[in-house]
Amino acid sequence: MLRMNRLVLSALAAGLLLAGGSRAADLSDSLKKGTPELKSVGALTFGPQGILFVADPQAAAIFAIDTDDHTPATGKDRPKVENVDEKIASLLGVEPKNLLFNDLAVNPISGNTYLSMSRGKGADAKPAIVKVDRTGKVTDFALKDVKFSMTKLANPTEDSKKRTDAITCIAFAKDKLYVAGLSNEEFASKLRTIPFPFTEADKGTSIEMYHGSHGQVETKSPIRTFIPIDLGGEANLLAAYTCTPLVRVPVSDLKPGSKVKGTTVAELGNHNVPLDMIVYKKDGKEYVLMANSAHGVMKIPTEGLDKAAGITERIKDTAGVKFETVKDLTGVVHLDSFDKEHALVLIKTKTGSYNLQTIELP
Amino acid sequence: MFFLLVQRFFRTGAIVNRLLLAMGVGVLLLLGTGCRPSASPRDTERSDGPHVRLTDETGTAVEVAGIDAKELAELQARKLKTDEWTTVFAVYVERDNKVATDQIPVLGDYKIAEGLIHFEPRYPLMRGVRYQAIYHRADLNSVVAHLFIAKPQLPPTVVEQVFPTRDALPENQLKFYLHFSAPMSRGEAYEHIQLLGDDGKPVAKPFLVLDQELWDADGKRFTLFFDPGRIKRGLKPREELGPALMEGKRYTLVIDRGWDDANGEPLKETFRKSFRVLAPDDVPPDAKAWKLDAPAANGAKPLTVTFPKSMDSALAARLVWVTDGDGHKVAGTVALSQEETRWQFTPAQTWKAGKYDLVADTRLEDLAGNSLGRPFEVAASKKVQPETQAETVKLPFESR
Repeated sequence: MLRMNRLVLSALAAGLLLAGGSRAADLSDSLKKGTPELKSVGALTFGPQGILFVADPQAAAIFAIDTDDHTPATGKDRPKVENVDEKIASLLGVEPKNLLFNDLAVNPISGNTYLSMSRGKGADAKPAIVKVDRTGKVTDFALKDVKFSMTKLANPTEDSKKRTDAITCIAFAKDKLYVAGLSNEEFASKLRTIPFPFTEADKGTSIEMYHGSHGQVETKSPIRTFIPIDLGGEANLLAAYTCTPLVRVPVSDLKPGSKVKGTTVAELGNHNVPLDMIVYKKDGKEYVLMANSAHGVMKIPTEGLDKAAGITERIKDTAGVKFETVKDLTGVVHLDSFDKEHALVLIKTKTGSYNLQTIELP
Repeated sequence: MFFLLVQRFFRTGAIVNRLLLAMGVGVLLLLGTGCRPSASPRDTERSDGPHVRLTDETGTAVEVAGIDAKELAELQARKLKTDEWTTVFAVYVERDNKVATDQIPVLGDYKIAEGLIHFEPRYPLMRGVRYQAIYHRADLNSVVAHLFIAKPQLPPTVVEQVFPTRDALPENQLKFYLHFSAPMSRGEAYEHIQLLGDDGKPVAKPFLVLDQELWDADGKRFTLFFDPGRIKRGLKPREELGPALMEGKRYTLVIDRGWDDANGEPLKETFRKSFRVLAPDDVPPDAKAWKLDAPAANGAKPLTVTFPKSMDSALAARLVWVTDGDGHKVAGTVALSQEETRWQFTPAQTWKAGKYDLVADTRLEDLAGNSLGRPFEVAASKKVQPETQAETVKLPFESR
């Protein structure tokens, strides 16, 4: 679920170089060496400088971990690992049926893939992060003696064993981490923005999200997945809600304690459960690639998304922006950018096994 | 019950290995409560060469014992790194009694101490999984052991309750809470839940399927949302398929017994909840309409609050509480009954004479997701305060 705006990152990296600041002296200064006590691992995303953000939904926390994986990729290797579930299961000492794939993220510097896994399916499941390098070698990413920092999401007064938050997506853009979650009790829609490096003083803010529909009503709804994206020169989040509208929200609207109504720019229909999105460029045009639960991958041009007025009337067939479905690509459960020409996908095959591979960007 | 199976023999190939297995040549040890022959794994010390054993039933360590001093000293002198260690001693997950030639060994740390090779897997060996440990010896046959720790035998898990408990629900019912008697396994929930129409056929895609399932911290309560795209007006899923529930019809929620609990065992039986569907409920609950039955001072009888309609069970338990005259939260327990229309609070200590407040957080929802003061859906033209500004509603009462 990487959803880092690469343009922003490149700009940030360039800025750092211009400023003459050494890499380590900047962001990882806020990290301390130790052993992060993760209760669970869920959504992942890379920030700059090989810093991996890991959501821990059970602890209601986000960890920033320095992967120390800063060596730029050399060569053209791209991973193709069939039955990756069997390989990871062997490494973690279980059968494939005892594993859950929670998310994946590709380190944009090295091209190594990080997968967040649950080893075991019961309440005592152990979190694990597994690394697959560009040649397809599967190793574990030991969460021991690493530089890290952590920020808690939960309001301490709300401690309850019953209430938990699923963290559906995290993304980093510029100097902020965006976190979307879903409560297992109230039907809330909170999007949290947290400045990074994490500080005690600023724990971030929570924004209530709304979207409209054809029927001229608006509701709160949890966000399922989102990406930071520049639209018409303005920083936006493109968010897919649990009830399928694709919504544009200007980042400048995300003010603390505010109620934000996004503009619905597309309706994805009933058979699309959005899982992951990436932004890419091909032949001078920009697209969003979106993995859906079972019905192929969708390619959505971003041209005009900034001007789309929003769907407020009943429209037959496809509403909003046009998109195409990449039909021969099925079973994609996770997706991330790999390089300029490729995306990395985790595919669940018809037999129930998993393949990790790259695909050419359509 | 803990059950350990160790079969030890010299490995001359997989065929012999299987033959020996079939002949029952292996050494069988039964350990644990009930049917164990009073041995601990360490009692299996043997003097006839190296052998592999589990240190105990936690699966946190595997050892090679009985290595002669010279062999061990040679190994120690090699100062092996983890990658190199796996060519000497490795533990594998067995599949069909076999280990593939290119199989990745179980991750862990190695050391030589007290005359043993000691392997600590990064994660404890899992109960119910079969492992093969292989100790390779230069110019000698390998030593192979099959390791297995049986799963505990627990009473079968059942669905204890599904909320809401009533059998008539609004068309825009937002969610169910499934309460289990023991922790459940994650990752397969939606495969085992069906909604059947009155013709007995499954309703297509009624629920919100999330890759991150919504469990409580204990893994005993599962939250099942209806697909909000089928509830909200003017969205494509509802326009294409209609609402998941239709007023006037009957449905059955089926939780099939094939759903594994955390121990990997199926449920005791399939659970069914039948209900009929009423008109959609678009009216936010109004705290002013709640009836409070104030308890007498110096007693510990519960404060009873009656809601005019059923409320969300989890939220009513969490978002309604009592404060004393100084505004401090009163300790006690909440119980819901009468189809979640009766809320009762029993204080930990007796009520004192004086003023109290019943406090409700405005995020409290009814069955259709309408919260205090705000319906689930709002006309776009209507101004609504953001929730972050709304807080609580107070209803005073006095204990006399």
